[in-house]
Amino acid sequence: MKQIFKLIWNNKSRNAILILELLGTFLLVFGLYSICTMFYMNFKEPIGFTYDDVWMIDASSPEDKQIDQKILKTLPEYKEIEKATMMEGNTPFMFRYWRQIPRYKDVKKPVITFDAEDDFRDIMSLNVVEGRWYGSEDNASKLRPAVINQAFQKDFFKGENPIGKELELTERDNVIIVGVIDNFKYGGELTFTEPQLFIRTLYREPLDLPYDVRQRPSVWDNNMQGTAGDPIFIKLKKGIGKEFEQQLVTSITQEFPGTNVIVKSLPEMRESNMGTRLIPTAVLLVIVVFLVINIFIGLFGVLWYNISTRSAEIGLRRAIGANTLEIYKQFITEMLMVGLLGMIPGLLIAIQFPLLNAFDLDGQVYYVAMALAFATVSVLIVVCAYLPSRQAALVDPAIALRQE
Amino acid sequence: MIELSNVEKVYQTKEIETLALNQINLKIEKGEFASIMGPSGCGKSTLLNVMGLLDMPSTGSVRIQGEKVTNRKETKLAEFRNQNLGFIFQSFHLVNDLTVYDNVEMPLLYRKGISSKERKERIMSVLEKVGLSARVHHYPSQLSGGQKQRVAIARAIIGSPEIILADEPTGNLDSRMGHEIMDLLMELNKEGTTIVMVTHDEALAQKTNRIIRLFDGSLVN
Ligand SMILES: Nc1ncnc2c1ncn2[C@@H]1O[C@H](COP(=O)(O)OP(=O)(O)OP(=O)(O)O)[C@@H](O)[C@H]1O
Ligand SMILES: [Mg+2]
Repeated sequence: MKQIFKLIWNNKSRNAILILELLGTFLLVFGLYSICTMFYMNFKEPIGFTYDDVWMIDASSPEDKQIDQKILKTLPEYKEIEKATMMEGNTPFMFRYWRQIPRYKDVKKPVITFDAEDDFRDIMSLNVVEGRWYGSEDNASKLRPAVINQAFQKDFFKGENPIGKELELTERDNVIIVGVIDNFKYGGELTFTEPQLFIRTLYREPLDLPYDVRQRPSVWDNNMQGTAGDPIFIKLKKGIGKEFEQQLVTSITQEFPGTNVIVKSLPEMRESNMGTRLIPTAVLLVIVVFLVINIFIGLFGVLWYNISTRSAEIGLRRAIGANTLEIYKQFITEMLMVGLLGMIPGLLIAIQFPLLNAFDLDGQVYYVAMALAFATVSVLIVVCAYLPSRQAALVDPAIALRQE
Repeated sequence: MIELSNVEKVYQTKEIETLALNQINLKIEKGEFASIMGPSGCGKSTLLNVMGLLDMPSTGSVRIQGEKVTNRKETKLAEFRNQNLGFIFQSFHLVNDLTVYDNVEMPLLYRKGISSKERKERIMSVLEKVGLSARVHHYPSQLSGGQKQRVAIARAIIGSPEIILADEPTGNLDSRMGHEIMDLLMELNKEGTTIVMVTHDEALAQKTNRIIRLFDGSLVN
C-alpha cells in the first residue's frame, strides 16, 4: 500500500492530468446528482392539491380589461361546472413567482402570496390541517383573513399556534391568520415547498366589508393595459370530458365577441411544465454523459499506456513472487488511489455547498449527491482499470524480462 | 538441487518454429556455482527461465529440491519463486520510481507474516552486505551500473533463497565492476547459495565450479 502510494507520488506529472480530469468529472457528476437529488426529494413531497378535473380559462380582450371578471360571473350558468374562481399572480403550473414580505414579530421575509377566493380551497382540494379556510363567516372580521401553509408556520411561528395571529403585510395592511394548509406546490412536483400565504380576495360581488379585498392587484391592472386577463380556474362536475372544452370556448366567444379564449386542462399544463423544468437537466445530463465517455476513453488510454510501459516491472514482480491476482490488485489499487487524489479535493469543494448553504438547498441534497458521485467515479475507475490490469496480469514474465 | 530431464522448449511464431532447447538433461548440485556459456541465441536465457519457473518447458520435467514443479499451478509457482529463488538480470530491472530501500523490499511484500521491524532489519543487513548502506534513499537513476546491480543482488538475496539465477549479471558493466559483482556472488556461494549464472566472459566462467556449454539449444561437452 505504502509502496503503491510512492509509485503514484513519484509519477506526479504523469498522473496529474488524470487526477485533474477525475476532479472535473467528480464535480460535474456531483452537480448533476445534486439537481437530480433535489428533484427527487421535491418529488417525494406531496403536491398538496388535486388537479384532475380542473381547467384553466385564459381570456383576453383588447377593449375590455374587465373581461375576466365578466366571464367569471357567467360561469355558474354552466351545469358542467361545479365551481369557478379567479386568480392573480401565482397560478398552478405556470412559471410565476409573486412574493410579498410579511412580518411577524422579528421574522420578515419574502413568501409566495396568493390572492385567492373563498372557493379556491374546494377547487384545488387543499388540505386544511389547522383552523379553517376563510369564507363568508369572515365578512365581519376587522382584518383580511389569511391562510398559511406549514412551511410558513415553521418559519414564522416556530412552535407557536398561528391561528388568530396578525401579520403585517404593508404598513397600513394587516391580515389575520385563520387556518393552516399542508402545502400547495403550484409549480409542480419538482418544486420546493416554500412558505405560502393565501389572502382572502373577492373578484366578483363588491361586498361592503370592513377590509378591502381587492387592494394589491390594482398595480397589475394599471400596468397591463387591460390586454391580458387573469386566469380563471374551474372545477368540473364528475364525468365531464374533453368535448366540453370546445363548447365552452364557443359559448364564451359568442357571449363576448372579440374575446380571445384559451381553455387548458391542468393535467396538460402539468405535463408541459414538467418538460420545461427538466430540459436544462436533460441538457446537463447529455453533457455529463459525453464528458464521462470522453474521460472513460482518456482514462483507458492512459492506463493502457502506463501498464504497457511498465511490463518490465510487471515481469520482475512476477519473477520475485507476485501471482497474477496480486498484479491485478496492484494496478486496480493504484488507479483507485489516483482516483482518490482527484476526488478528495472534489469532496472538499463539494462540502462547501452545504456548509455555505448554497442555493438555499437542504444540505442533505448535497451529501447524497456527494456519496453518489463518489460511488460513480469509483466504479468508473474500476471499470476503466479492469481491462488494462487484466492485460498486466497476463504479461508473460519471461518475455517482459527479456526486453530492454 | 535442480534437475532437468529431457527438457525441450519450442517457440512457435507465425512464420517459424524455434527449438530453443533440445533434449536437455542437467543436474545442478546443492552449493554449486555453475556458469552457462554459448553464442548469442543458443538458448541460455531460455534455459535459465525454465530453471527459474518463469517459463515452462514444452516437454520434459523440472525438479527443484527433489520436487517436481513443472505441473504446479501459477500461484504455487509464484510462491515457490518467492521462497526459493533469487533473480539477477543483465539490465538490473529496478523500479525507477522507487528508492533503493523500496526496491530491495519488494520480494518481502509478496511474503506473509514478516513484521515491518524485521523487514527493515533485513533490508539494512542485505544493503550492508552489498556495500550500499549509504545509498538507501537514492533512486536508481542516481546510481552507477555497478551500484544498480548490487541493489538487484540485495533484492535477490533478501528472501534468503537457496538458489540464485543470474542472467549475464556483468553484461552491462565494465570489467572492474564486473569483477566486483563476481566477488559478491562468490561470497554468497561460499555461504551456501547455489548459483547458476549465464555469462559471455570466459575469465569469469573459469572462476565457477562448472561451465555448461550450450550450442543451438543442445548441451555440448
Ligand atoms: N518468446 C519467444 N518467442 C519466440 N522465440 C523466442 C522467444 N524467446 C526466445 N526465442 C528464441 O529462442 C532462441 C533462444 O533465445 P535465448 O534468449 O534463450 O538466447 P540467449 O542464448 O539468451 O541469447 P543472448 O546471449 O543473446 O541473450 C533464440 O533463437 C530466440 O530468438
Ligand atoms: Mg540471453
